[in-house]
Amino acid sequence: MVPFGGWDMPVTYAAGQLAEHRAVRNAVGIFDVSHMGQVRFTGAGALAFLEQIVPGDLRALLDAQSKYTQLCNEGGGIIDDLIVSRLGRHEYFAVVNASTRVGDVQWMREKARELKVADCNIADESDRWGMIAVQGPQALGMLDRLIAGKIWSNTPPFTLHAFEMDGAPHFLSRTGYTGEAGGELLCPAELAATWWKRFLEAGAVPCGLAARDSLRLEAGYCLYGNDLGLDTTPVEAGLSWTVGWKKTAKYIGRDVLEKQKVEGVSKKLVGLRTESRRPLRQHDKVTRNGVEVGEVTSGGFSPLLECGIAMAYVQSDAAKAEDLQITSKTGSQPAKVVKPPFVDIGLKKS
Amino acid sequence: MASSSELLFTSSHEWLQPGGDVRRIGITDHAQHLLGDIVYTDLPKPGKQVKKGEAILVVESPKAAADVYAPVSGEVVEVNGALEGEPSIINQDPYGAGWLVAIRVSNPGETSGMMSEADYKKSIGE
Repeated sequence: MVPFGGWDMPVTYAAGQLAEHRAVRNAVGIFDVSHMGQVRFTGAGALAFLEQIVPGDLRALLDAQSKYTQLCNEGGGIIDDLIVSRLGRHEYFAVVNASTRVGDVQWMREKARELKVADCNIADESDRWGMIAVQGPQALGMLDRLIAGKIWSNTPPFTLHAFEMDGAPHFLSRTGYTGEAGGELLCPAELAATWWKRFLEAGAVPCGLAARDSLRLEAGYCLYGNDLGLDTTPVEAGLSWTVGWKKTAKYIGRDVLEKQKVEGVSKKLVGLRTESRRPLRQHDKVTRNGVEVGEVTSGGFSPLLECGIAMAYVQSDAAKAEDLQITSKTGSQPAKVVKPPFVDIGLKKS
Repeated sequence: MASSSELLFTSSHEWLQPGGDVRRIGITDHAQHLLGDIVYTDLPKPGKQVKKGEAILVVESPKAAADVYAPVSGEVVEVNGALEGEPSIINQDPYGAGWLVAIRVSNPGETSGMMSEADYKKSIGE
């Protein structure tokens, strides 16, 4: 067990990282992600408020639809990345990272006061919800068998569905952090252990933080704290596709993001892969002709490709270079720039 | 798994075959367990001269990179080529097929400070 955002979490279960990773790519794995935070926004002003605090365009969301976006500060720096779902015309639901949750909610409440937002209640429901990610090619089939009332395999990705079971409210979010099909179940915290056992009995493989990290890295998903932070903007992080460039709200950080879009950025997040099995590591240097041009923010070993893969911020003029090297204290090796996802797993971006 | 009871152990979690001019070395079951799935080894080339206590190769899992130290001085005469494509052999059989390199021992007296398996297990609290 390791400390993670204020929680004790397992790095691996009995199967070990590689077996857990392969279970998700080939069958179905489950992750206890109850540490994630949940925030509910209610009131006639909810949409108008959210539109002012995230770069993503939420206006087009229909009921039960979800959108990946960020919480940015005035400089465009990323306070957190989150998924916002519309529950109803006056009700939205966000899932945020564990380590940033308290700060997020403080920030939101401060901004609501500063912006003189009318009629938007912000409720931190994180302690109420347990959350289990069910991921893999067999995940939706398993959800179909365990949760009556809906054919989950027919629901589109990036939707959030409320349902009732055991007399309690639940959500099934058609999202995940592995690049595979599946969902994330939100249940009352006191039912989380019951659900965990249900999934285990149905044949899911329990997966720890290590497999969660190698799966998300293969899928090219950013990790807050590694690849995203206050010193990076969505444009620098390659997340321009999530920014609502046509939205009308003057959201926090908009000036910086629009300037970067027009004038370009000085650093960019790129994917890198090597020809060797050596795992790449956070803080490895990216070099070109012996000169440092960037740094790895997430690194690892791809079990599917059997090579080192990484995400790194590099100077923009090096973002398409064909002569990059990754250098650590154990030596240098050539690295090729690739556009994530690293593996072809039929990922959909929206 | 090969019998480990006759091997000699270091406090830095290597094992050494007990007799002969050329002896294999590897990492202990405890060490492979701590590292988790081993995905990469950086083995030295045969002919390399090594000194006791010197880092001679690296074993890496997604979790960590671990230096392996020479338990004795000598010359690397053979490396386990099977590990290049399948380093997980070290996890499966650390005392047998998962050996790392074979060293021609130049000073057998250097092994006098090494531990028996029982003492090694005691040292790691097993």
